[in-house]
Amino acid sequence: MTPDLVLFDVAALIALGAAVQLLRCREPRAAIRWFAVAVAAVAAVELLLLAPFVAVAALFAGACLVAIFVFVSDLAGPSVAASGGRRRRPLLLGAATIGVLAWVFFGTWGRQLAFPGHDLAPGASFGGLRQLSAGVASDKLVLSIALPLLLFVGALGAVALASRAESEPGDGDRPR
Amino acid sequence: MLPVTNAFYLASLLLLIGLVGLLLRRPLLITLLFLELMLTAAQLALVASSRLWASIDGHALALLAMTIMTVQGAIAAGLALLWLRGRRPDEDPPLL
Repeated sequence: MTPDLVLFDVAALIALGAAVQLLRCREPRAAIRWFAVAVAAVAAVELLLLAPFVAVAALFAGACLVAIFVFVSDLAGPSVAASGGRRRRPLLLGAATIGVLAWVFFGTWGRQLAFPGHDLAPGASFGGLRQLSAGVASDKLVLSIALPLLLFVGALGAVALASRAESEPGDGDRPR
Repeated sequence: MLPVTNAFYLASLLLLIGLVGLLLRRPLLITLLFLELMLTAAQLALVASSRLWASIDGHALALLAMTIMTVQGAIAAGLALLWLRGRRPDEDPPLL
């Protein structure tokens, strides 16, 4: 077993464990924490897959999302945030999780043992800044324009929704 | 060398867990977290595909998925704020 594979297994276990904990926890703050752990572990896997810039961008996007969700969770207040999520099927979930984990680990190992060497070895420059920037500047030019545009439209939508929430108080603000 | 199939298995598992959580969990915030988890799994599958075919296209698509994920989170936060301003204190069931 190579060091890369050991690191991958550790990161995959952390990601899966965090996702299962995300399924189990009731508190939104704890759920956000486990989500952050899962995103960090997935970023580590992406780093192992020779995608360092995607990994860094995933970490940055995950941090932004965690900040947004913590903000919303704080606004909701502890009484509202702690409630909800009563519909649970723990036995079904536990059995499904154990079955899928067994399928992944034993199935993957068995397949790698039976059919070795079907992995591709990319070149040393694969995933590097030069290749990524060359691809974005030539083939993916539309994408490189569409991404900031999409972010801009999303930010405008979020600001419009938030300002509408401030200008139009709902039933909760009516005097009783 | 790292087997790419393991990354596909991990991505499919994360997608499955996200789908299960999306179907079983009711609070809005946690539902959004599971949606983001599913997008993260899709992004991981794109990166693994990129590695498998030794092409950079998957990385660019993964960046697109990441942008969609962030925009969705920002819009969802705005919607949650809108809902929080308009909700009644005795409203049942809570969405957040």
